[in-house]
Amino acid sequence: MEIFGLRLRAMLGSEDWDVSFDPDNDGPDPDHGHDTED
Amino acid sequence: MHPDTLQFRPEQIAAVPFSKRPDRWILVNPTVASWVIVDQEALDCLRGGAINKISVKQRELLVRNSIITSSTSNHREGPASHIMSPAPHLAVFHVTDNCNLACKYCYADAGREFNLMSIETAKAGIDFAIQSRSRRINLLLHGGEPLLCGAEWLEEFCKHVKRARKNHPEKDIRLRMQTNGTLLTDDYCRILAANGFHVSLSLDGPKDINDKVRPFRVGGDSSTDKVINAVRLLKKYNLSRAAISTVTSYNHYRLDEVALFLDKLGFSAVKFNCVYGIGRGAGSDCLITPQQYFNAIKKVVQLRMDDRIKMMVAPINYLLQNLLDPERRYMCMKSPCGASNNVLSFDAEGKVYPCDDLLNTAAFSLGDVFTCTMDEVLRSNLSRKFRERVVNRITGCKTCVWRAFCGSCCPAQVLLTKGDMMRPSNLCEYYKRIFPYLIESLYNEKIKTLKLLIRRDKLESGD
Repeated sequence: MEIFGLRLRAMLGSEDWDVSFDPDNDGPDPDHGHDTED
Repeated sequence: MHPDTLQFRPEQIAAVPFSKRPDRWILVNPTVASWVIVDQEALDCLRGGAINKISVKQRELLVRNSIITSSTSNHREGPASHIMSPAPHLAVFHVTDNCNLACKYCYADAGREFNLMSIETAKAGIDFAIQSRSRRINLLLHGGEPLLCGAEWLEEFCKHVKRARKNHPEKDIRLRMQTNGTLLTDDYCRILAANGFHVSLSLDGPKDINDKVRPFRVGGDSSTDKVINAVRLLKKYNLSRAAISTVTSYNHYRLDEVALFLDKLGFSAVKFNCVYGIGRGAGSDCLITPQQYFNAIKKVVQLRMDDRIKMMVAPINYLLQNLLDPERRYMCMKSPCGASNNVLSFDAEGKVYPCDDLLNTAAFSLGDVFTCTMDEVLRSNLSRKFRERVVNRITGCKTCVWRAFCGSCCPAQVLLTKGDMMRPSNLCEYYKRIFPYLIESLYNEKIKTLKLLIRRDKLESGD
């Protein structure tokens, strides 16, 4: 029997696996901050 | 976790068949945007009420992903809603309606007018933007072509930003620019570099593609060499090099080639936007179907998975993020979306709009930067209307399996093309294909697919 699932936080922790563009740390963001929350 | 306390509710969970394997199913909880993949045996156990035949570890996985519910544990929360607490962190300055290019699909229909935002209006816009409750404020110079403003205007703008930073040390104010790059000079680059701008260029591919859709307004001449020169200038001044590339009938079938071209030029991130059917895009020969956009994006997914390009590629990262995490950081793929919520836009006269797609339509103006406060603008009925457009209220989305993953965006495009924002996304059929495609990819090639979320140089440096 196979059951497969992934949750980002459960798997890696959101701090270790930063998925958004942070231009100051990660380089340019082509979408100009549409993905950054305060 | 005793199996007697666990329950599978088939009426709340959708079973989506795999595209290539008849013995695998994606079980989706559309309410909280979670999913798992099961084989036929597991599905039969769930449907037949034989949860006790499933191992403890697998039962925990099902509970964690809200496929089965436990009467003794908390269920995972779905994507958070921000209806009640708008805090714009992006202010888009539509510096001019003018443009030196005549892109066939321009959603802003730029080039009709030869206006320029006065520096006084721009300063009022900066002061207006920092009224937001958000700590981080992104000020984006957009257009038309923002570099038509001239170096003196740009320096004045930056001086006022410096004053704002000094007077509001609690704010993290960032400067950004979206430009076609053809007017970029050393002088401009010195100002951009000195003020920490993040610059993104618009480029749709190699010369034989880009020149057909993005020619100069006067004479229809080639613009591509000038954009490539702009990349060189950005590199010279150590400025960021990101790109926005519009996917049209001219490049969708060669998007892998476009991605390789941009990667080789030295862009470290790109966003592939599907052409909008608004402005000059409406009825143009540039339009493509959601299926064609899906096929194009798939080509780039494969390139990145094969490590043939280094660039970070949006929107693939956003799609995966929405599949793997309930947090919705990308304002153009959440419900409600960012309009009058995370973003506001200003036209050249200082009128305020819910987002940059709605500029220049008087009916969508929320006020202006001179006489209104941000609080008044955000409390207006029109602002509320956008924040109340949540996917569960949209006929056609209410029963969709993927509704909490896509957010049925973008309402502005739906409104401008269909006259009613309470209709499903124009890219609905694309979302219905790309989400199961990426889930299957996560199952078949987990690590390679997860790498699409992060920059390759980060991986290479071992971070």
